[in-house]
Amino acid sequence: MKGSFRQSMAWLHTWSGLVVGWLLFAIFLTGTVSFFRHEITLWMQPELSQAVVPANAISVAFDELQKIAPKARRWLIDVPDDRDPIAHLYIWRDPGELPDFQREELNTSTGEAVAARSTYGGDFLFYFHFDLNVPSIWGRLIVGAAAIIMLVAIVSGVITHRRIFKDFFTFRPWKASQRSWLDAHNILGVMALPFHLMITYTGLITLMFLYMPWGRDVAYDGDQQAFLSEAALSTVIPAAANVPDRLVPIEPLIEMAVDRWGGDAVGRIDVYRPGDANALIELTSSDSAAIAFHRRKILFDGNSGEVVSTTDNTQWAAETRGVMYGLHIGRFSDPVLRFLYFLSSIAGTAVVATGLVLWVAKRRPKPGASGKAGFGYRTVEALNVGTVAGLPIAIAVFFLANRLLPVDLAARADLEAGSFFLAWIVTILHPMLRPAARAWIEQLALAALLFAAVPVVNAFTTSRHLGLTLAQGDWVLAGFDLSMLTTGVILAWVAWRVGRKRSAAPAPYDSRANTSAAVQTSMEQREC
Amino acid sequence: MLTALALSLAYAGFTALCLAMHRHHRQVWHRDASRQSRAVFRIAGVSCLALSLPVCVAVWGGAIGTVAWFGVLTLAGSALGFLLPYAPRAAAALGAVAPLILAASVIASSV
Repeated sequence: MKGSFRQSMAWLHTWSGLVVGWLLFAIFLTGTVSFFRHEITLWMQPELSQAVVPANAISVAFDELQKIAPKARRWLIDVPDDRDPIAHLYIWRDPGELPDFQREELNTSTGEAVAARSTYGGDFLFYFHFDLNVPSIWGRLIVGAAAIIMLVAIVSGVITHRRIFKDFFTFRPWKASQRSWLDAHNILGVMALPFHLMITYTGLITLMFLYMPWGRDVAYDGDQQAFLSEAALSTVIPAAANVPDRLVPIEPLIEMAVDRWGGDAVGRIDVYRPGDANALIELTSSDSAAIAFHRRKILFDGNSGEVVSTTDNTQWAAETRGVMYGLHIGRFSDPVLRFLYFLSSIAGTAVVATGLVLWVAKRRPKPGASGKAGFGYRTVEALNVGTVAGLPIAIAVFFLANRLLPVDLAARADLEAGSFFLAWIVTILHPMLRPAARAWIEQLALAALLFAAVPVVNAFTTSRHLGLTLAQGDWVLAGFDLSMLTTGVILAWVAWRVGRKRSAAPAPYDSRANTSAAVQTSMEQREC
Repeated sequence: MLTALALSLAYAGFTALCLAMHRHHRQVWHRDASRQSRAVFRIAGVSCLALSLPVCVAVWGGAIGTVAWFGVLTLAGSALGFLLPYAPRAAAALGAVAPLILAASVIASSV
């Protein structure tokens, strides 16, 4: 690391990007699909998809809970809405009372529990996005470290990109592979730069108390619960009075809350100690049309219906965090905006992928050069194939496993997750045994095939096939199937492109190592 | 419809800025841009980009509209960048025609 400032930054960009590149690709890709987490879950539980949400959905859910658990430590109702039309009911009981945890998916239009196949659904990819499915906090710490290095890579990348304005629209697919990959890397990086910066920074904010707990610990003297209550993040569950009492009807409380929140709906209902004299009912607003991820809450006395406390999130620190958090998860967004988020996020994924490919392209041994490529070079190349092409394969396998594993299999959800990791391990091992050029084509083609197979397998294993969902205008399921087909077609096209490039005469290796300097002559030479 | 208008304005803005550069002007018309036309393209480009912001705000409101505007710019700019080498003329023509058609249909539907 020597020479000019810009050269130092180029060095930093290259190596910071490489050490966490594969991880960043996985984080970006799973994060991208997590914008459609609920849609994925609905697809993975086709038994749930046809529910309609009636006006009295909350009362129906309340009655169901009264029936199955009149006395409990806590109830939680995830109120159904258009994106997720099923009411999710959760019940916790005190230690010693069984079952200590219980959940039920309720179709509020029929009032019947739905027996859906067991799956982690979209939550699997969502959690992978920020904890890699590593138990304990280590997963989150690793992801956080990767995100910090991503910030370093973004800033150093902008400094390194000397011709950021002159090359703003420059993409030359007919050039040697290194050149056209660099163009693609630059154009996607620059065009979506505001998004890349925002999503990386706000991603760190979402888990900021894990990464930098010290300010909070000093201000609250280490009392986490005091902090959580004041920041309106959690409520303390009261002790049972062991005196039976009746809960108030829920409708008037809901009306009051909606009124108070200016029309925002109730998204979540917590009932602490239902059936007891100490009962509390807590209403939480749904994700709303504001950017800030507000969780406005009202706490009621469960038996009298009087307001105990409200937490209208008005403190500026909490509000700032709410805006950052909201920007990251993009739940405020309507379908169009969600699609824009999705595209920018795909661009981010592609920037990481092209960066990884570039590292290899720049160091590719010249044709006819003596000796074999070094161990480091071959390892990077194998990991590139196993991540950039392999992770999509693993995701497709995860979806296929959801349809192909028997519905009533024990530990079914874990087997689905296991098939994801197994597929990924195989795709990482495979390129170590094959020539890299072949491995790329084989894995990309396999990924294309698997994604295209998802709607086909779906048609054979459920009654919700594309012909039906399209005709009925069921856009969640039809959209999922169509996205799978589109992904398959795109991957097939990429595989075909890579195959064609490989079979053509090998492009002369561009020996000008400093890439940004090499751009100069290119356009002038071409009369279009 | 307004969303499409915002997108087309952003695309037109980037197209004009792009044509103000010699390299891309040659790519489309095989000759350098004159001084005057570069100035015109610059002003038109910045104006179109700026105009797409209030359209986004009209669709989504102030706060979310601003967020959406960045997304619209990203989509429009990337689309232009990747279209340009394959079909330079068509890419430029799209920038001129699309906002006109959409603006006309927005006006027609509001009358």
